[in-house]
Amino acid sequence: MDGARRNSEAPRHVRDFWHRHTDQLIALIFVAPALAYVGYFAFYPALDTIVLSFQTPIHPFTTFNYEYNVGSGLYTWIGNTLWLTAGALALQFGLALGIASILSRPFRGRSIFATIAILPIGIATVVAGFTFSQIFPGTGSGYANSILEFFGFGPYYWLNSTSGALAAVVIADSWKNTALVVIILVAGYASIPQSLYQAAAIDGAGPLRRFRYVTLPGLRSFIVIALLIRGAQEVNIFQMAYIMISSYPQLLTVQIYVLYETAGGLYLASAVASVLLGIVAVFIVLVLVIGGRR
Amino acid sequence: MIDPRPPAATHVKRRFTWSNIGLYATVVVLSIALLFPIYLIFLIAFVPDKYTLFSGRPPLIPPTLTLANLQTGLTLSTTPFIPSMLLSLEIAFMVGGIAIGLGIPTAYGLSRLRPTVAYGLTTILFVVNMLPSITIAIPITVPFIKAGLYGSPIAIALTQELLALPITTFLLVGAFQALPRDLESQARVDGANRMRALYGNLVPLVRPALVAAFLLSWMLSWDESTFALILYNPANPTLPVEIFLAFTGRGNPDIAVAFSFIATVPVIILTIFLQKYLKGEDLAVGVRG
Amino acid sequence: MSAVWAIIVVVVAVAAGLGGYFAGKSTTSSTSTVTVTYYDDLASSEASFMTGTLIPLFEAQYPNINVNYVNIDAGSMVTKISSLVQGNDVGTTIIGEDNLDIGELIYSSNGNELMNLTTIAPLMEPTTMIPSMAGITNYETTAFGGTYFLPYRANTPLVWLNETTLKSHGISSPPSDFLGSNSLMTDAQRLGSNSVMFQGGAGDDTATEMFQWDVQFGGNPMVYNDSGDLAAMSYLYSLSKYMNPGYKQAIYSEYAGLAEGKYSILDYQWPYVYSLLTTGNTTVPAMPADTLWVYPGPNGTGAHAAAHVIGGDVIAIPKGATNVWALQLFGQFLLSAKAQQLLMVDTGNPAVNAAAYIGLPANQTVVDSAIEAALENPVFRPPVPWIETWVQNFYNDIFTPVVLNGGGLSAIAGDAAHANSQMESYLSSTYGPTVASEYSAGDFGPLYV
Repeated sequence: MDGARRNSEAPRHVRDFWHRHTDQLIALIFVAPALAYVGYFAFYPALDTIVLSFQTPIHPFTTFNYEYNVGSGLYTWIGNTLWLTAGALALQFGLALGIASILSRPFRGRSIFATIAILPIGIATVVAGFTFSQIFPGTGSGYANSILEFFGFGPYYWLNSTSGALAAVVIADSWKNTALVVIILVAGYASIPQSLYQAAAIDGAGPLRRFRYVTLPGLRSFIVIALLIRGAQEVNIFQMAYIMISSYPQLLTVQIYVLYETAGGLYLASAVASVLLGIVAVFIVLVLVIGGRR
Repeated sequence: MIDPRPPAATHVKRRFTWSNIGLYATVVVLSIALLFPIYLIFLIAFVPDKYTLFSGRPPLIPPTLTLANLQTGLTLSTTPFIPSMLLSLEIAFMVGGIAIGLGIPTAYGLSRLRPTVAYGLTTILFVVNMLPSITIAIPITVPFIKAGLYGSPIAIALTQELLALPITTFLLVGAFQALPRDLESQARVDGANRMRALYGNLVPLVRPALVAAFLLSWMLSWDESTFALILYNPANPTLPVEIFLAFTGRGNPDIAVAFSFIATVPVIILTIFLQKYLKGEDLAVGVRG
Repeated sequence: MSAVWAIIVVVVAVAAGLGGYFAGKSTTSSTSTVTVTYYDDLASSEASFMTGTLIPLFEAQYPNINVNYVNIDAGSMVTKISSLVQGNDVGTTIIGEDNLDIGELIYSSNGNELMNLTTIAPLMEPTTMIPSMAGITNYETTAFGGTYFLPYRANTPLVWLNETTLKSHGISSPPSDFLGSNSLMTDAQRLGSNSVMFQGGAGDDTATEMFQWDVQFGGNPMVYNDSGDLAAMSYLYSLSKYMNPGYKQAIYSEYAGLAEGKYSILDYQWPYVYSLLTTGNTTVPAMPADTLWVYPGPNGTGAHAAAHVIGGDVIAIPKGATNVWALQLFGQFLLSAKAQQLLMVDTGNPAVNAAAYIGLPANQTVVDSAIEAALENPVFRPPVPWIETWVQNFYNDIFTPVVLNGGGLSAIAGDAAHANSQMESYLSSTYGPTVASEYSAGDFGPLYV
């Protein structure tokens, strides 16, 4: 029984109701500082960016910044960013499913492999970017080609083409971030009761069918959450891309930075930043919709 | 250790089967792929530049070793290494500390709120995590300039906190929810007020989650370079920003090499330490609840 | 137990904070000395020279003035100085800023943020300035109504070639022209693919090279689409077949590729790379001086066939600076013959003080004679505040579609016209219709002072 009951004359259901209300209110007070912080440091600047995107030094409201950026190739930048995101998500989820599946069984050296699997999280993004720019360099051959030549294949100049350059960034980013997806999926595997596997095995299902009918459905909510979070983060990729491929092929975040660093480019940068925000908003809406359906 | 629930009663026979060979082969290949870039960090740090950064065809096995790269990188830099490292450390501890300080009451509040309200607020925190750093960083310079805090450690820490707070809250909420509901009531009956019940009784029980949250926030801040770049004080940048500038500007790439190596060694150690605390069950609770 | 953790966290955070604070604090302080804060944008080798050699020379001469050097890139310097001026927190500050970025401090939304130097300029500026530099101060009076900055280090990009490789392909001297029988194009054809490095990337370098080429082909680079501009762009596209693909990402350290043998013609790079290429160190293998050809570059067509872009840095003092007497002494020192000569010999930056060229080592290096030749035909980029948008626009609207995406010769005219209209609409929306129509009329163009 709680000890805050004071008004012992009021009927019990009123006391409990009031008490529950106070409880909720106090809980909200505990959450309030974090909400205030987030409101001032995240939502307010985000709104500010949108407001700035419709301004220029002499016009208080205009769509010029968007028109200008479209003329500079905005649609191509969006396309590049989305291709990169799709490729990275595909690679990360394919690898993570495999790694998490391996980690779900016992075998000798599993703990060592688990450590190796999450080691990339600790490597700073700029360090990883720098290292991968030696693997996929602009001039010269790079370590990727040293490896290819070791297996007898000819050298391939990754950064020469848009698709090769994006592929290089996809590989670099996936190296670092697959571990995050692995962690989430491992939690998912842990939540699937062994009894389901046993039942399936008794029914005669082989490993592939067990994967399809037991594992995947059980992982569904985990995959969805991880996809949406990683998708939003992937769209935001900046340092890795800028270090490896500089400004060609253009991605949204790199363009925002380049425009921001250009004198008088603040409003143009805000417009591209708002476009980026719009894409992320699509992911956010999906989180809300799919999460709400549970 | 990432430790999914161990298999039920059936005994695993370590037989010499094709599936076992397949498993071990896959593990070995994956391990090599995952470790290769880390091997490269060491390689580039300790092998003369003409075989690594400036070679048309860099060899995979180093012909010679040298300490000259580290020496050049650490002594040549006009922005000395020690203040950068201290700054990164200072900011990382600030971010970790604020994450815990702000995260405990937030997670406590969320775990006691009605599920619909709690879900709504948690979603807001998650949405924050998904907002692009560079979108926020640009307008946020203005209030910092006005307050005279542009380039100061606290400014960078407060912005980086946006990345750390959601994941911290997520971990702690899961931990609080796993505790028995009447633990708090018991403490309150025994005469403790709400704060003492929280910090005296509940918080000690979620210590593993606290450690994991602090370490994760610390590493997020140590790694972070977008906010640190936009808000940086040119007289004293953080370590990642120095590496970034040394490589993309007119800097000496040996600086990037040396700093990369030194920035990496402690986090490798920390990651190994961290994975002991990342238990699958804790995360699963957070996702489902 | 949680209290223990909280205490540990707080103690470590405080310790780290104190450590950072003390490490960053300067160790000397004296009530009678003045500390000058000097911002500049230098490559790390140049910065080492500044802090290790040049500044101690000044401090020895004036024991009651300390100079605190801060290395910061040109763009960030503008933000930093702006925030200091707006916050009324300038202090004793002097800056060495890029000649293009200085315009942003003059035309800032907060008005002119630089101190008017007209009265103290005669004390700082030597009487022996080289003629093209003296012309800049005259230009300032006309354009701004006073002197707000002084030329500090001239800089002019040169063309660098691997003499050994070229000779082995039967080329006996650097290409004299763009077109013709001993030209850049014929040399590239003889050397084959991957032989030329052109600094691409969205930085100033691509636009600087194109500015140079446009002027030499008789065009006005600011409008993008007159006949000279189109001719230069077509030339670039044809040459790109022979370029080392590294130009697409343009990491600065790629100049080292010349010493590496990754390519044999480096089209336009600032002279500071000379000492790095010839002496070599842990970052760049040595390229013996007799394997290196360096010269101002091939001649174009028309009236400005030999014109050469002059870039470089200027000295300025932010508005509201204190202890101006100390800043004036430091500026005077930086422009003196001795300091200018030391800078030139050690870092390769051409001196603006003609007296610095007297008493140089007897065997003048090849790069010094190349610089002198280039400085005889100067052309400057106009210090308009929108120059960087002009750079970005060129990269996005012309360079990317035509060269990077392979749009080809047929795309050039259309893309250049598009770039022109983009620039005009930008000016109209940002500065107003008057500036936009001046732009269309071609009123903004290269400066021949």
